[in-house]
Amino acid sequence: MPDPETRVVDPAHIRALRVGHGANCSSIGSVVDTLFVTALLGGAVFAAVMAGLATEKVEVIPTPKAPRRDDHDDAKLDGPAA
Amino acid sequence: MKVRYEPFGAWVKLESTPALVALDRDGVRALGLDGGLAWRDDAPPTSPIEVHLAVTQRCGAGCEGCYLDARPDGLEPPRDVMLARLDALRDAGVMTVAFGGGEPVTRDDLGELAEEARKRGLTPVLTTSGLGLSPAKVARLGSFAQVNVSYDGAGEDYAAVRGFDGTRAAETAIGLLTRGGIRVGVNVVLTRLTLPRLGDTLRRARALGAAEAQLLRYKPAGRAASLDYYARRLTPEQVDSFGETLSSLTVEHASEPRMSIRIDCSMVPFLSGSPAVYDHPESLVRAGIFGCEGGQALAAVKVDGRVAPCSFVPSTTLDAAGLVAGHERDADLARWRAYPTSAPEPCASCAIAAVCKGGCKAVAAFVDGAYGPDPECPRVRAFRARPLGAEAAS
Repeated sequence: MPDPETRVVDPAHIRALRVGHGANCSSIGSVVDTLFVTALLGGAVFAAVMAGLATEKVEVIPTPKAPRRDDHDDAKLDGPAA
Repeated sequence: MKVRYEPFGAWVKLESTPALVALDRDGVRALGLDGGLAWRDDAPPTSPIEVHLAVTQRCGAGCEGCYLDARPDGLEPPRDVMLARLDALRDAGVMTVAFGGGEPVTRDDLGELAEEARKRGLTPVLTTSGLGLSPAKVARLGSFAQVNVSYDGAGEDYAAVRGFDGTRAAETAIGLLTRGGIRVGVNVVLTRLTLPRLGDTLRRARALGAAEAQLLRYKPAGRAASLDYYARRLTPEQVDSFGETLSSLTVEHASEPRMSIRIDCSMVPFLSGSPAVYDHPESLVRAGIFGCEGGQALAAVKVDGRVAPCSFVPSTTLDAAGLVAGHERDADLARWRAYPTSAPEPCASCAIAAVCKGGCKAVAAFVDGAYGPDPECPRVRAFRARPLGAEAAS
């Protein structure tokens, strides 16, 4: 796994960016700020996201098809069976 | 960050900034990961990333338009039952759990349930009317990433939506939560009577400390499934100009202290009336806008534990305990997932169909009697209003 100091995700590989937590309990919401005021907000939000992708500890959410792995579990660093 | 593999790559939920990022496969590989089985062509559909969890059916507010028909003597599952449901969401790989009701703050163990959600790797959020929320209760809600307070406007606007004036409770709650260090949003249900004053409502909410405004379409479910719905829903003219309304609001509230504007899934079809959006559908994808995600990214677990595509439609026979395997196998959820790929016109030729996914099925079921194209979508209205024979001639 790349060192967090050197991990770089090309922005071209970001398909979608959903901003915020949201807290509605009845229908799924989407922030539209970046849809309408991209120039004003997009840059700052994007910079924060890129920094997070580069530095945050990685934890793979376990699913029935993909066993849990994380940065501190060397025994599990091999990719899931293909 | 938490990474959940998807056929396209992965959803990545960041911790340092509240954001959910969809990375393609090469982006995931840049993190040193490989989706393996999840990236095979025959990989099963993945579980919801967000689940709406009804923690009680109790509520004394008596809102006229309550989509759940919540009542003071409603069902309230015991704590161990709620913990088992949180276990099921964790096992299914869910990322966000939105606590709702009824009125969730009627539960004495609400804060503990949020802590238990955190222990399971879930991000808990909450919706409340604010009724019954005291400083002591707020002090126990620190595990919630965000709390949304129902706030349809001040005075008569609140009453126009809910049948009583709960402004004071809502505004008090926003203040208590904000001072308690909890990020606060407001849920604003839009009706034809209240939309003209939406600007005032949002300015007031922002002044009170709200960091986000969630705009909600009035939906014909629960007590709102009545003829009164037709008198409250937005007018066609309001729907057609909704994109312009949103654009204006987002610009106004973009300066610090910023208040984000959020729309619910059922409002995405309204954007088809906005050329600025409709002509650039890729912008919706990039902004991570979700339309109808029932059976896909969204599920609801109702108070009896049954899973539904969303909170506004009838439950399936699937119990939350079986979500891991059942989400793929359940026939109703599969039907919802399949709808966008086989939707009739005008959805079939719509530029934003991949995001919108046909609009609100709850509205379609009430107005048309079937889960079809959203009858209040501008394109659907125009399609249905075309002259007889136009389809054959085209």
